Amino acid sequence: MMRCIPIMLLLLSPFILSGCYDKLEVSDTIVVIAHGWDIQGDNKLLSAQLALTPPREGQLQRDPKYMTLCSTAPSFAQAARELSLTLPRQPLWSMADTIVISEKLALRDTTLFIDTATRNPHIRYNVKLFVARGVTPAEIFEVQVPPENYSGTALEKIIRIQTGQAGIYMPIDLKDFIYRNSTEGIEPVIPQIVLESQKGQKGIRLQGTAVFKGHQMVGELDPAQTRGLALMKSGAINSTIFNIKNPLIGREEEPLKMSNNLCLELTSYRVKVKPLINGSHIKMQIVLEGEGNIVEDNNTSSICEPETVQDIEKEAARALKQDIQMCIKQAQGLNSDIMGWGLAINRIHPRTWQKIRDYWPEIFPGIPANIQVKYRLNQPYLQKDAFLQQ
Amino acid sequence: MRYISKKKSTKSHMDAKNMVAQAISADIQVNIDSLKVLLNRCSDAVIREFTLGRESNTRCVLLYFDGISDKAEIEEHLLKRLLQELDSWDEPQEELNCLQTIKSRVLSLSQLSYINTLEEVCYHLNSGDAVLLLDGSNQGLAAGTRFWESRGIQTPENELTIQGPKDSFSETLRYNTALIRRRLKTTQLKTEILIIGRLSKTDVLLSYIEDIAPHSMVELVKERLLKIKLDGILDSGYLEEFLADSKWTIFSQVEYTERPDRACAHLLEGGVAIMVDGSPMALLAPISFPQFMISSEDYYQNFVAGSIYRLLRFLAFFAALLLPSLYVAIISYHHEMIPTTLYLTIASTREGVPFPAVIEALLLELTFELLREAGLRLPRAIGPAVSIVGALIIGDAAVKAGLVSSLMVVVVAFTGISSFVIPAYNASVIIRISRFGILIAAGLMGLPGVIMALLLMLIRMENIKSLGKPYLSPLSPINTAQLSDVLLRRPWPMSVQRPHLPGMLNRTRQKQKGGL
Repeated sequence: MMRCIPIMLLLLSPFILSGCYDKLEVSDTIVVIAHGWDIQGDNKLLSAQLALTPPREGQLQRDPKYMTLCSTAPSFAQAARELSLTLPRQPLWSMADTIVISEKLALRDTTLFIDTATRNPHIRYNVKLFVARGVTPAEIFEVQVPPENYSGTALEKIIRIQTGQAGIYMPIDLKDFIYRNSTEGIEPVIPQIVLESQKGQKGIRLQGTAVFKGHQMVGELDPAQTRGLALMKSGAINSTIFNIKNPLIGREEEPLKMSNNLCLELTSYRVKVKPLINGSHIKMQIVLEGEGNIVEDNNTSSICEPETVQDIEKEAARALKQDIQMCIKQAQGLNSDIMGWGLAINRIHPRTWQKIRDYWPEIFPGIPANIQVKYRLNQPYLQKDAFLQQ
Repeated sequence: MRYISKKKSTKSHMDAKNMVAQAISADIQVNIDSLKVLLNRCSDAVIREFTLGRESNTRCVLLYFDGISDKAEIEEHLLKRLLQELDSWDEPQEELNCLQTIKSRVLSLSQLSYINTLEEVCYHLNSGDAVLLLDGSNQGLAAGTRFWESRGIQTPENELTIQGPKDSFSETLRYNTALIRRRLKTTQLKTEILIIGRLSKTDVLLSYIEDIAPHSMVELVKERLLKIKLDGILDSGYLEEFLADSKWTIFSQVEYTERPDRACAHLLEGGVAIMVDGSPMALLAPISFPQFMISSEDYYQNFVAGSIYRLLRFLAFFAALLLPSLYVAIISYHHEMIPTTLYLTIASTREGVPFPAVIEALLLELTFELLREAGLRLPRAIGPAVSIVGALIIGDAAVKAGLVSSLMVVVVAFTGISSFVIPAYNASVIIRISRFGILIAAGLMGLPGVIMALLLMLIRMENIKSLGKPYLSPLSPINTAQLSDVLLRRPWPMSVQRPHLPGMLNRTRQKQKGGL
């Protein structure tokens, strides 16, 4: 028994360390679905999309199901705390899945928010980042995105689901952003979100990618360039879809019956980016091996002949290569190493990197890329040839 | 035949007490007088006096208790034979041999024994035996005529299985030994009778398999049983606390079963089964806590199914123990652990509930226990009605009135169902009681509180031994070989050895090659 007493005391000691006063009843809290970082003059503007509790069974449905609150203060932390002056509940910031950064803030300086993002324990590292292009985060939060209840949740779902559908944007979470921000030889990117109007209803749309250099946003990639960027990183997207010109057109003298469009799918790909260094000459070698299927053929000619298949594969490789080239061209034009070539050199040739790291901004725009793309056609799905083949 | 008249005894109570210790006198009148005092005011006692033989006129007295002795047998095999046979048998008998002659040549009963003291007379009478005393003999003859109305062998009421035997123990000890002996046809199955209880003189049966059960353990059990000085043993449950190694704990160190197959399986693993006359529950020891999750049905079905259902039961065990506590801890302290959508659902059910989550959980758990207890104790006809009223009406009304959240009702109901999955009733009692402790710790400290309460439980369990067997074995001390038959159900061909018990003599369950 005497032996038990010290153990009991040890186990009971946490009662005085933490206790009921740390308790937070569910009914005293409010869920933060997403928050937005913006600036207003010299102050920071924090906006939050807060979920209104769904009604109990048998009560009327509230509409809208959220509210958006804004608060201005010299720091985001203070702005967040000052919400309590108007809000009778404690916001659960760590529940947020999405952070929207305003274009104004991104163009000004990322250091204005990167510190709070890393220091604050209530911000998760896997929260998805977006740049609001041409709108404020608060406006994004006010948009209704059926069937989702909250645009914040919708954004997180859009970026996740599109990687297997349209397959253009690579999701960037806070951890990626911090990593790209603090690592030399790679620059951050964040997908952009815009407002669009359809039949008088406002909607949101992923459009383009914000390109950063150092602590500032310097430009953007269009969707094709963005896909090029994703194609230079294995696993960034799961599947994508693209159109090529049917190789039969022009080879055989056939009249154009419907269209010369052939739609292909990229179902998986592997890419290797390797610097080739020859004395002072640096060249990047990008080898992409992908495979996919035919998803739509608007022609009537037979496309499953061995020669035709080879032609389709070549044409597809050319289309993918074009996206990559466009991305590289844009990145070099903005002088922002978003592909992480510097990092690749640092990993494979650390000594060379030591020599060139200080001159990297000068060297990067002029580095040539040797892009080799191989595309393998797997199957034409349910049909061997075009439906209208004679 | 006549019943004793209820005339007032002239001798005091103290005399009766001293009288019991007396030896049987050669003078039958002394014996009759003493016994009439002892059996005074016992309306069911029968004292039949008669004489033997036409010439010798030896006075005899036959005693038994009506109702617990087989009257037909007594009349047929005792009285009739004594009166008829000896009547025509007029050779002068030497007094001393007379009883022996009767035993060996006259009475056609299989169980006959000599008795010497009035105490023995009383014990046999109370057990249902008939006692014959002869004038001139300082010994008596006890005839085994025990017979009483019993329930007979019925199907188990508490430990139900789909597959497997459907008989269960009953209140009659002899039936119970028969049920075991029928399954284990070996003379190594020992069934020792110990008479415990100062007044009740209850037959307590200690059974074990001599070659398997550790000798020291059997001796220990016997020693602990014989030390009991209680006045009456009415159920095997009386013995548990006398047998337990650690007494001040809620952790039951024995297992109860009404299934003979379960008792036999326990005997085959080297344990002892203790049965009490008048109780349909056999008490099995030693036991370890993980064994409470084992149902005998696991061994009657395919091992894959048995293993899956056993895992499910372990899952149910943790749910029954921890679910309300985890729920309360997480929604009161660790909101970040809940996915947003789930949190919103929880928030919507908790909107407007006036109590903190922990109070709400305690209230509901308490209500659930009340309903369960009420359902148990109520007459069978009302029982189901109460549980329906309780579950449906009170639960639904409480949610509608906004007193409790519907999710908490779901949690408590799920917990309740999980606790019913555990096959051993006394284990589910342990879990139910521990649950309240853990719940309070969760309400006070959140998840660290839950962990601490669990640690306290584990430390206590670690300190307990059931007849020398560690209470958490084979989890602690770890025994991987046995673990495969506790967490999962090992296929029979692979069960070569019995589970280990300290001092076990024979661990081979299955001879691999040759041998017996």
